Amino acid sequence: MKKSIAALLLALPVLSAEPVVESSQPEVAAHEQVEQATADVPAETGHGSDEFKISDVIVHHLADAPLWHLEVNGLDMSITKRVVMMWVGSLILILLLVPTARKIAKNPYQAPSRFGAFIESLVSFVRNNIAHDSMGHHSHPYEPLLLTFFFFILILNLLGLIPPLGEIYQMAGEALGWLHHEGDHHDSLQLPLAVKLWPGITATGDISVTATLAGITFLTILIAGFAHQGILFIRNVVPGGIHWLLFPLMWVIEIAGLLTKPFALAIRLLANMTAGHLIILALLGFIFQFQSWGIVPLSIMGSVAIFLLELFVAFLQAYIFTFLTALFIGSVQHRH
Amino acid sequence: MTSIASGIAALGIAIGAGLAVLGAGVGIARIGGSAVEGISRQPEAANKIQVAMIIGAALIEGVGLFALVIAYLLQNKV
Amino acid sequence: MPLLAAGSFNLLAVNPGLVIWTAVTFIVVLVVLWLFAWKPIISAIDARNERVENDLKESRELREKAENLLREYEQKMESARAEALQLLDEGKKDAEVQKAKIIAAAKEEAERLLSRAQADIEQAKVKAISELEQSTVETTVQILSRILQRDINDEDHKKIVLQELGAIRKSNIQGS
Repeated sequence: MKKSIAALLLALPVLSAEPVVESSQPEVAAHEQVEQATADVPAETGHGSDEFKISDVIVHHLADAPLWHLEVNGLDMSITKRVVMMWVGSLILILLLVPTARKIAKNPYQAPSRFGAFIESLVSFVRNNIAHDSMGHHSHPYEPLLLTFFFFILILNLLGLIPPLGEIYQMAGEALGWLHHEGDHHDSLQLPLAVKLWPGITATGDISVTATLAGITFLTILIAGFAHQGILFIRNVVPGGIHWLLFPLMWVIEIAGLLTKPFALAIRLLANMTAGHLIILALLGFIFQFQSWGIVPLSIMGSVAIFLLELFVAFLQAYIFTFLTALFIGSVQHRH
Repeated sequence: MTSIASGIAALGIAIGAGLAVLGAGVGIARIGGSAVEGISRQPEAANKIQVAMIIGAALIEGVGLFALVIAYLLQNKV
Repeated sequence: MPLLAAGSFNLLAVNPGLVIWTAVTFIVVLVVLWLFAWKPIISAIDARNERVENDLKESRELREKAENLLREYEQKMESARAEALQLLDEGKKDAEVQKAKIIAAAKEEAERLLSRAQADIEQAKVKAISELEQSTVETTVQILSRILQRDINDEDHKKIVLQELGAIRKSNIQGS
């Protein structure tokens, strides 16, 4: 039951993204439906002529697009889909965690509520199994950062799995006739407000976002290195017991290694969060590519399976990013 | 570039990406297999083995992704 | 056509605006959660852990104390039992001695009583016999004097009768 709903939810944005399919089908009923939403007809017929292309769907679902244009000092600071999604995730995180924390802090000796216990177990997991395991008793100052990394990435990964609610709402409203939208569906700046408020994109599936997070990790590694080893950190990057002639070479290699770590972090998160979506879109895209009912069960079942895998990956990648960050910080706290 | 040359280049990129994924897959499979073996031998050390397994798999995955990124970057040059 | 580079979509193109927005958002979230979520939760968990640890320590100490007490009590019990056994033994011995004493005393008493009774009986028998003899003598004298119609000297009579009785007794004793 739940699976079928999930599959339906997954299928909806693809359907909504492809007015092409509807208008290119020869059935009269489909045309009548399109005709009913009179405002949409010109926009749709503009795209209706070309055939279904999976790359268009992928671009629509995975590519960032500006929703509100903003330019500061000549720098493009547009509020894009991912920015909105990030804000939605941050808001959800703050609205969930702050009251829970207040409730827990009020009665620390009382058994917390079910949600409180869940949050507490996650916090304890990050503190004990991630921070403390890789840093020992030096972990204390880094715990809030690691916790924020974990929850921020986790919520963005999970929200990315929810289809664009705004788009579904708008589509349902237009189909039922109680919402009208003037303008071009394919110009992201002119999308209706509901669509803009929940663009349903994976914020962590973008190199800009993951690179920024990895950059924060890199800065933290540097700060931790200098804080625990002082200025000697520059020399201690190289492990002890190396012949002095090899030292310059090793130093360059180790510095490169230091830079590779956050790079790998960024690429790993990006690739993992993109790959699953890509597979789901491709599987559902088969339906429209082959224009056949026979492929439907296979597509839906496959995408549901991948979706469940993605749920796991969402947690796993949040864990791995946080864990590796903790590990890297732990590795610069002492000379090796 | 002639179309044959670009085709061969694309083929090279695809084979390279495939080999990278193959290598990463073999590596992760070995880690997973050894971890399961270790856990079945010493179930009480399951937690430590799992952590070590995840670290190893993540590092291998990083290398594989690195290769994929390079393949992806080369793809635009074809 | 490259799959992921379709249209304007480039997987590895960094958008500086997005970088800045990510950094700003993350730092805001970090600060807000640090102050209003992680701090209270961590301090609450730590307080609880500390309390649990203290409780554990306390209970461990209490248990140790209780175990010591138990051991002490067991030792006391053991010694008390030994003492009680000893007392019982002693009591038994005492009772035995007492019993023997009482029995001996009783036996003695009984024997004494028996011998006295025998003596009494003997005495009574002797007395009765002498009395009987006396009365027999007197009666015989009376009868004889009646028969003989004359008074004989009492003394003579008695002598004669006693002589006769002595003969009779002798024969009686011999006969019995």
